[in-house]
Amino acid sequence: MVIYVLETSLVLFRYNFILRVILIFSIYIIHQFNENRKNLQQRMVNHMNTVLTICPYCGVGCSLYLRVKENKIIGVLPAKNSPINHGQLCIKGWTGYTYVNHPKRLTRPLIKVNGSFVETTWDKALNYVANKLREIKEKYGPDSIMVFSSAKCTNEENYIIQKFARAVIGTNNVDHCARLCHASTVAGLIRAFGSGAMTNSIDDIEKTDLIFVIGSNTTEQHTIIGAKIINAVESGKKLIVADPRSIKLEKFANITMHQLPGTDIALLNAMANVIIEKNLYDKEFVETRTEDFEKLCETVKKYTPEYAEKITGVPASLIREAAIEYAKAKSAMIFFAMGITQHVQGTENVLAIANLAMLTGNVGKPGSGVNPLRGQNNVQGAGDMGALPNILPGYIPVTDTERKKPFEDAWGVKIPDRIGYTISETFELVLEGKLKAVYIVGENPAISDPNLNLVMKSLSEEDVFIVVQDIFLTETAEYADVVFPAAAWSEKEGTYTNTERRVQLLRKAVEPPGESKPDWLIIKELSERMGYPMNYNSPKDILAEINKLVKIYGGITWERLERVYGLQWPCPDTSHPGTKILHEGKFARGKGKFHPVEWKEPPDWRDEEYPFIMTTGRVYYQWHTGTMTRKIAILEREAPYPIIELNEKDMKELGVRENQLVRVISRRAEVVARVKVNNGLSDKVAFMPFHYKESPANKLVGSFLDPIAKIPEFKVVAVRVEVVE
Amino acid sequence: MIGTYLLKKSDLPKFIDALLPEYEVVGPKLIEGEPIFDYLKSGSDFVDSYTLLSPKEFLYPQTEEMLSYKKNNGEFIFSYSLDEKKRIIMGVKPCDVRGFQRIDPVLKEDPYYMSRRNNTLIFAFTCVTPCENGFCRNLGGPTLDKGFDLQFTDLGEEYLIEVGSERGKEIVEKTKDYLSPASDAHLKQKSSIVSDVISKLPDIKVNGVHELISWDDPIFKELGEKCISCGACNFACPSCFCYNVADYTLPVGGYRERTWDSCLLAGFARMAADNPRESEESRMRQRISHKFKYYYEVYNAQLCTGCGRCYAVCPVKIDLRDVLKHFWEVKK
Amino acid sequence: MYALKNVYLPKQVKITEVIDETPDVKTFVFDLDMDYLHGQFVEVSVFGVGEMPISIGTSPTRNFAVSVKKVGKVSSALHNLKPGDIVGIRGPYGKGFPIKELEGHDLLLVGGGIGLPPLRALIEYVLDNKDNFGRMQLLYGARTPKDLVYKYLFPKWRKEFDVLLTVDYADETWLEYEGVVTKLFPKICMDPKKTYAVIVGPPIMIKYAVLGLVDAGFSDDRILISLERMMKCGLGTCGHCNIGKYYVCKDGPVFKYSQVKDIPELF
Repeated sequence: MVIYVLETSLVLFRYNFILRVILIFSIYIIHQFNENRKNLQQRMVNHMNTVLTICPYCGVGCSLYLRVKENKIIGVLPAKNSPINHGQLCIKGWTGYTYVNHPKRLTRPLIKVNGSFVETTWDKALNYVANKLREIKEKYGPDSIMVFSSAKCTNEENYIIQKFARAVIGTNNVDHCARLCHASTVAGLIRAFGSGAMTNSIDDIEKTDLIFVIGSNTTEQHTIIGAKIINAVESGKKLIVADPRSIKLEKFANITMHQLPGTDIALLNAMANVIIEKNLYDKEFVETRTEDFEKLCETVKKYTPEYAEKITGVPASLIREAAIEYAKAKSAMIFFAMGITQHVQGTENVLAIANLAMLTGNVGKPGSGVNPLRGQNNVQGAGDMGALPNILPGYIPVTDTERKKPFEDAWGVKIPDRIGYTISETFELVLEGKLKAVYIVGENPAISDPNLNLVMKSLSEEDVFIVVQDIFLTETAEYADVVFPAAAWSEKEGTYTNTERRVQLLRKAVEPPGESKPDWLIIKELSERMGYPMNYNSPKDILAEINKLVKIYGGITWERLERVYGLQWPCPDTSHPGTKILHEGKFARGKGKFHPVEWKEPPDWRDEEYPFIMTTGRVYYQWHTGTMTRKIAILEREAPYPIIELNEKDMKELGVRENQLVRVISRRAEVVARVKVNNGLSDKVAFMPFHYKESPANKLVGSFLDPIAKIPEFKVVAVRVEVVE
Repeated sequence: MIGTYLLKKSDLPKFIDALLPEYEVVGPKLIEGEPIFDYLKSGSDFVDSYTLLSPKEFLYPQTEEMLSYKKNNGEFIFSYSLDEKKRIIMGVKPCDVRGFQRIDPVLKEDPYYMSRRNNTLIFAFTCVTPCENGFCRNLGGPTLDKGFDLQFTDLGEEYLIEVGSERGKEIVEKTKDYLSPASDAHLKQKSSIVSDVISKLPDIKVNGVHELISWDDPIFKELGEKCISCGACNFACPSCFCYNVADYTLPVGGYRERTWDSCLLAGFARMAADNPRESEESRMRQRISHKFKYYYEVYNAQLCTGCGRCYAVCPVKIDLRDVLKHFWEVKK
Repeated sequence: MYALKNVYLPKQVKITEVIDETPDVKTFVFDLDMDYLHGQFVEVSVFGVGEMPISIGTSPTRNFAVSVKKVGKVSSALHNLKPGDIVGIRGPYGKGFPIKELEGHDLLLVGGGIGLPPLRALIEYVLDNKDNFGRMQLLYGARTPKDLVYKYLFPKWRKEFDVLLTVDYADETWLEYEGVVTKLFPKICMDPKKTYAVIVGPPIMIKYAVLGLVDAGFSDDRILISLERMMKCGLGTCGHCNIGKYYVCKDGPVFKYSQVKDIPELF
């Protein structure tokens, strides 16, 4: 720049030597000043950056600050002003950032050549995938391609992924991991209330009188909410806990029930039976705001506490006590998680819970409600953004010709009517030859899906084209034909929706390593090469489109999110403050509907050859398939190897001590694990976390699906336990 | 004290700006509305406010690379870097400064901590109002007698600056344009502010509590059952120093990194063969005994500085004030 | 180039020999010249895997060697190394055996399993300086005959002093005692008033051995034990090995029973 000015000055002031000198001199002074300023800035800018963002782990959605130095995250601070976590975090929040900088991060696209991966350029990889997908679409039809979206990706990315499936490929075959966790919740609550999300907010815990936790180990999986429940109990509120094993929360509970896995309907129906029989139900609410009450009465008549005791193993007196306490409370909240949803009767379990809540008038007012604890940081958002085979963004059915028109107009395509395939059906369909390509974003079905032998067989099929877009080379990515390196949580911006429907802003803290790109950018570039350009320059543009098309997100704009700690949908316009409680005054479907349900024995029930009922689950320190947490030294140290929990009596009978290796055999596979004691488990009941790739518990699980929600039965597996010599 | 001066509050940004070219200045600044310790880009960034976490991470980061190595012909070439930049931490509360003083004898051979500590100046700020959860009344109080380079006390319109070291004197030289001498009246004003704050802080006896902690006190079991092992108390504490070390491999070499650790995690003391602190009760006992007894027996000073941060970050609200009161109750 | 020395920097050391002692214990001999005391330990780094504390198993008057049992991540990685491979060594750390205090006394050594290496260091020193010490007796036990370490040294040692061996589970070839090491205590032929006892082994063995020796009349001051705790730094900074007011790495690992007898976590 200096030389240019010098040249110009030479030309302009050819004749006036003094002016030329003055000009050059002043240029020099300004240049030096700028250099000094830049150096000062440089020294300062080389220091830490502190960025406010959202935790990437569970559905609580705590806010935290990341300390970034030279593009590496070196520390974490909880956000004191966040209305959710008030300056608190769980161990994963405090230590769970070191995986971002791990040496094994994927940095370049990979293509499989002769059985091993070769690094390549984005151009080559994207063109290859675009051509292959176009080829498959032409030869076998758009419905032969399946897209797995990710509940760890932002709302904008989920929106663009389902748009890719529907507008570019032309199929409704898009699904995400809610299929494996809360699909039954959405299906159940949509039928009962008209909306499938958590009815109240997390801070309702402070306004409630009684909390009923069933099928959720809250202090380990949703720690901040679990801690709030403990604080509520310490300030005098009542707590009822129902879980097949001993969990920390039960030390604070007034009533603890250890039911057998898979028998929840009997328990819940028995509670409803007691409440109706003792006339403790909210007559006004039932009469004015619900329908089909008589059908419920008919069905639960036979579920006396004594009848339920025979099925669940919980003493009848305890069931009676729990029911009376729940009904008598002025306002009561029910929290539930996988223990209720991951069953063949998952939808019906949720309907049974909805029945209980409606029976006692505990919906649509503060301190009450049916509150499913969503697992992933953005699984609620992925559902809201329509990454589902039967639903468009905003929960509009794909079959609803009128309401889907705005999307068809905005995208310029016809959205197919045919409801797409789900994750749980994908692998069988691959083996049957109905699916020829699977595009997986941020998901690891080789560890997280049931019946892993089938999954791995299907992924190894010659005839299927697999693309995996992820941050590490996961166990699923090993089977892929093409691997795209994606940016991790702190390397992109966007929005996450937590379990209480709060949409919060995620800010970018570091640059992605190597050549990895944010998921939305990869999809945009792929879509361009497939002939459908997407005109987004940043996630802000995508959110703007979402604001226009998705009514419940209408007022949740980027500008508003930058100023507040999130907004809870429905938020239809920019002046709306967000909705804390759903179904106030009237249900989303008008009147709440009672759905009477009957208990059926789960399909993989125990017998003489497989005398144990095993339930799978998670532990506090590891996260799901361990892609992130197994690379974090402190978390891996806490829970380093696979375990199976048994009670002392069973351990004695088998002749095993704690930490001894045992073989766990189910009807379809076997794995090895170390024994740990948990005396809350009933006799011949076991618990096994699914995180470990050396002994994946999901190998033992069968592919029994809920007929309505297609969620697998992860929670009831018949096994046999043998000592390893 | 080697001298006392006055600085008008409105001149504080200029005071800081005068030091910025030579030193990195760390102080509380508003980030998305919350006061957090961070590097200041200009004097007007500074806010005099309580923060959720202490500035411990500026002398002892949460994650730090200890050394890295490259493999070359079967031999390893090590490299490491020590931070010797000149730095000022401003706006530190006395409880946090005492935290550094407690860590000093333990990490005195640690080059990473000590190079920062030796090259960092401490500008302490007296507490002129009692904080929400502190109980430092008998653990030192809201102002320092020693251990600072400069100490600021807010007298209303101006700050009283006390010089506590030679380096502090140098700073005063560099910024003398903004300073004016202080008088005994100002010192008296500070005394009365400090006494006022002390009177408002809870009076919890600490002297001699190390003899009252018995092994089988039931409070350890009670708190152990509540504790959800989040580690926040250790991470937020200005005097906790335990860390974990992990090795990582790169394509041509690798590095060794250390991160803050928490004695309330089960894996803290676990060995390959067995775990001497498997139960939550034993870990809670370790934390409280180490804080109030074991450290005192070696260094004759209480490790806890009474800042109350552990209570603010604890999701289940375990309160050391209640624990101390309990020990005195048990004595009776 | 920096003002302060980096105490965490390991020295690169080559493995010169690997000896298989038992199915899961190997001895590694290094070409290292280090000034150390008996009972001290070093932190051995297997680069890329981690660091572990290991007691030095030989006397300073002889070659530098450590014996490692394969139990965890780092020890398993170490077991995969061969002569010529390079590891990192930091140390020596800890307060070793108080040799000056032991001089002129009889020594009763009680060892269990992998606890023999630090005792070997002491034994070798005593044998090299026989004039400064009185009589010596070694009681050593392991789970099975295969788990006895340094079997090839026993014949030589038995020529110099009394060595009693025992195993928990004998096989057909085993001709000596059976049972835990504390069962050998009636065979102690030392006078508690003239003897120092040194116990090195698993925590549960230490506990019962100490109680047994106290019963036999040994005073708390004359019983030395070597404690084991999870260690990371070896210097007393990382906090993992803290017991009571001691750090096992800095103030130990050798303690007098009188120092630690009031710590309920141990006894």
